[in-house]
Amino acid sequence: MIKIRLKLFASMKDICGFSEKDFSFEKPASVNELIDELTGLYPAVSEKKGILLIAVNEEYTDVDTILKDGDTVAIFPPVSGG
Amino acid sequence: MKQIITQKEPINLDALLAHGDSPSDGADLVFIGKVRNHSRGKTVTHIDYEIYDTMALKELNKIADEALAQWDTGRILIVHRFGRVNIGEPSIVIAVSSSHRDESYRSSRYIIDEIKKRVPIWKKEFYSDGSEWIGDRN
Repeated sequence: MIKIRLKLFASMKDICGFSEKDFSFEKPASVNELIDELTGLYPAVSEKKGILLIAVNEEYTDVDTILKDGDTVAIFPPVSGG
Repeated sequence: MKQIITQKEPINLDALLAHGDSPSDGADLVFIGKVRNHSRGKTVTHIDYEIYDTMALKELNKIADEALAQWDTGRILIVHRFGRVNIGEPSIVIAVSSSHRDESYRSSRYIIDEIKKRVPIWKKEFYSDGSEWIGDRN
């Protein structure tokens, strides 16, 4: 079993109602599977699917990344700093 | 010299610029990004910046290193605020010094463009009649 920490920001945090939560998977899972699980819990996530950015352990990556035990995954909409 | 700061407090420009410049630099270029009172036809009252602070600092450092590798500059200073920023207040300051102005202009432009693409900071605009996250319209 693997356990990962999920961090959400901006509109994703508003949609799901939390900024940080642990998720467990029976076997190694991809970021995509994590997003599918999140969408099951919070259907409004599906509206954001096409624009989401992913970071694993504070480095940008894509939805096909396979997660390891202890990873920190951040999912967020396009950035808008400056 | 590279200095990267994220902070909730208002930016004290004079204090930041008082240190770190070099007598060999003839150009000291300061870009100040401020919160304006209008956006897409709406009246803005303030902006709330959310930040993924640890990752934002990493990305800002990478961007500064990339700029330092491309242009011969002395100081690079980047300060970005988070939390509530009121109308007219600076949300970001980028100061780049170099022997001649061209390197500073190019480096500063690269830094702000990359920040807007990559650094995990989000603005939520507040209006007289509501609020909106800005990144989501992309």
